[in-house]
Amino acid sequence: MEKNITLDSATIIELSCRLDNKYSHLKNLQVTWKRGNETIRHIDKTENSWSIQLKILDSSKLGSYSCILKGEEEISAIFYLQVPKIEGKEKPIVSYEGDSAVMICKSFGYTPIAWTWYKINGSEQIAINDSLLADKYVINSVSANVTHLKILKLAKEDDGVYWCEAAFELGRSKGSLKLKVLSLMVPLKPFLAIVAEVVILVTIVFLYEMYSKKKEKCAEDEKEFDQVEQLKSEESNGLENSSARNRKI
Amino acid sequence: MASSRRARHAGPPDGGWGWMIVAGCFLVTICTRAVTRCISIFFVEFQAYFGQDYARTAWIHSIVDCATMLCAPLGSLISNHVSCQVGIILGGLLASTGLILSSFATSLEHLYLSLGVLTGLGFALCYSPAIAMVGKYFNKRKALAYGIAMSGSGIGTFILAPVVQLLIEQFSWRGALLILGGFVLNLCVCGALMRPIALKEDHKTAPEYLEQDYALKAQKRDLKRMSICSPLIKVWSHECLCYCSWKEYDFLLMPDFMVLAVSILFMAYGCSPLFVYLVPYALSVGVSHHQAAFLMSILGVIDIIGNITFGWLTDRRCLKKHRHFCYLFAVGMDGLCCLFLPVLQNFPLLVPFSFTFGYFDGAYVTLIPVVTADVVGTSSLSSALGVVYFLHAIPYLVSPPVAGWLVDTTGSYTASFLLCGFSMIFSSMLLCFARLAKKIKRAQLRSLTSDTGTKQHIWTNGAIAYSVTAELDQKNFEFLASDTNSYSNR
Repeated sequence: MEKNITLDSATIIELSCRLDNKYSHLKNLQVTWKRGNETIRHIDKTENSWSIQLKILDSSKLGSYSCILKGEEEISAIFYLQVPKIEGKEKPIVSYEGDSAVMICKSFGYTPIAWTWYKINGSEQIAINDSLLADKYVINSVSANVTHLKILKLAKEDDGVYWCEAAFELGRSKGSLKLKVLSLMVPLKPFLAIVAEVVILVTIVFLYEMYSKKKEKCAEDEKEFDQVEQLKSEESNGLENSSARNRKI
Repeated sequence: MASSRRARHAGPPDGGWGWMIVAGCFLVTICTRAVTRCISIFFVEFQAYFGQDYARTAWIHSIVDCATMLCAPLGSLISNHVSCQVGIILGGLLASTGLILSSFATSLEHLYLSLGVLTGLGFALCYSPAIAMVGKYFNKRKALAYGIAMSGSGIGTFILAPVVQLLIEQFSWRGALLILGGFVLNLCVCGALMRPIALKEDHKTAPEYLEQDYALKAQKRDLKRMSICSPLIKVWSHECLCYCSWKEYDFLLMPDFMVLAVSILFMAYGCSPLFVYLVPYALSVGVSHHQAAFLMSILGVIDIIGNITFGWLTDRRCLKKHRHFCYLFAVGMDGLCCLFLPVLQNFPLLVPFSFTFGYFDGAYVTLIPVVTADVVGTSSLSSALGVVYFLHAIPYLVSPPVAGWLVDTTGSYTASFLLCGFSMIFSSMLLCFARLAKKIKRAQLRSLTSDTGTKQHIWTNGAIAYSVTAELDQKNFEFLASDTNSYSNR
């Protein structure tokens, strides 16, 4: 069993483990509170619960604390004391050469004392100084919980991982963001492919229309020709009949 | 030798090339309505990039919608005077240019102009002419054809939304807008498909009436206009500009059309806030984000089903005579659903609401062009549709902010939903009463002319060839009355 506890400033905290009623049949329980290998003195609060009091003043006191109950079975619970988490962005931020990109880091619920941005080059981290390179980087905070890093005039070298670090009283917390810088050719290729497809389809449709118009015109001319033929043959039949009648008479 | 004129169709083909027209219109609906709805996916990116708040970015969507509807009459005008193909191809080029220009945007105002005005104008030039074309090619299966064509907006949104999201992730919003601009260029292909068709019904021109020497109301009107227009024609040296524009828009003065126009105003006012406020309302009564998004998906999918099934249903012979009634039934049911909405306070109750509202919403959207065609006839359909969609624009613009203001002042969604429901019910009641009044008038006039019943048979063999369709019901009635006059004079 685990529990996460978030602390942002110096405080006194009490952690307690309570045995559930369904385990109350267990006898001869030995309770130990530990942090790593170090045992901490605990207080027996009641018959089935034990607690420790901690004074958290700096980051050295943070970590994981566990209470272990040894009897026939061993039951333990772990508390993780940590600084607030910072949210970066899992999906990479995409931008183009010559354009600018905005990266945002948010802290939920807790207000950090300060924000720092780092660029990661291989294994080393370089702090971003916006006063030194004012025409390249602009850092501003919309509110105390949110920080924006705007990178201007992007180039291929700006591609990579960036960290935003929030400083709390009890330590620091990092969020990670990835920036991808693309060249303008990248979206242009699918665009040109679609334009080519449109031009081809339009040509096909217009050619088909001209072809079917021609076919219709030919069919109409044929029909009129047939009708005229029919009329002519009817006339000639009529003449023959009348002459036949004359002869009979 | 007879002139090699193109053969005039006796009536709409109801098939053949008509199905290609339906496919073209389907693609037009995808490229216009679905792309408009997907523009809201870009808002998060615009907000982050330009550092503006939601209200200012949401203006883009309003501008596109408004421009598409406001410029719809312009679209009909171009397709009537030049050609449908040219109109749609031009619209496609404009919309595509708008999207490509927006991919290079440096400020939000730039986006308002390129993505809002230019693209909206391009869409307007395509939308109503394409729908009018479907009406020209179909008669017996008109509602089904419209159902299939209009389902493009639902299906398009369903497919395009994840695709746009993927494009934004791969290429960022600039690349995505560029590729979307290429996609919208397919409107030119749709435009090429829209082959013009000449129907015998279109053969109504003033000189023919003069030959027949019938004292028709329409003929009298045309003659009067010809005499007024002739000095003007000389001045403008444009053949029949005055006459043509009168002829095109004379349906505006028809009482039937005026009633339809007013009812459409109220109907558009009632239905638009619902799509905007369904999700916030659901969230306010305790539904989770996922479930609220699911409600919208149900609405979208059932909309498509409503489009096609209602179209097929109203094409059945038994329902065809009652198409007008089916339309106002669908609008009335939507209004009724809206009235019930404030009572539905949890997710299991909101799901049937989504089903019912979505189905009838798809249903009446399919029937709008059909009902308009019934009222004005096929020749003026293009211009009439332009006016009808133009009338959608102002309520779409005004209604959501008014509903939002009501929500803010009263503190709950009840007032705004009740207003929407009553608006839609009023719209359907108006049409219902107008129809009843017409029926009563016709019954009265029929009883007056019943003694000349035998003469009607002789008249139907007369010189003017009219295809016998439901659209001409009212014209038949006028003919009956005037014909008895002319026969009694002789």
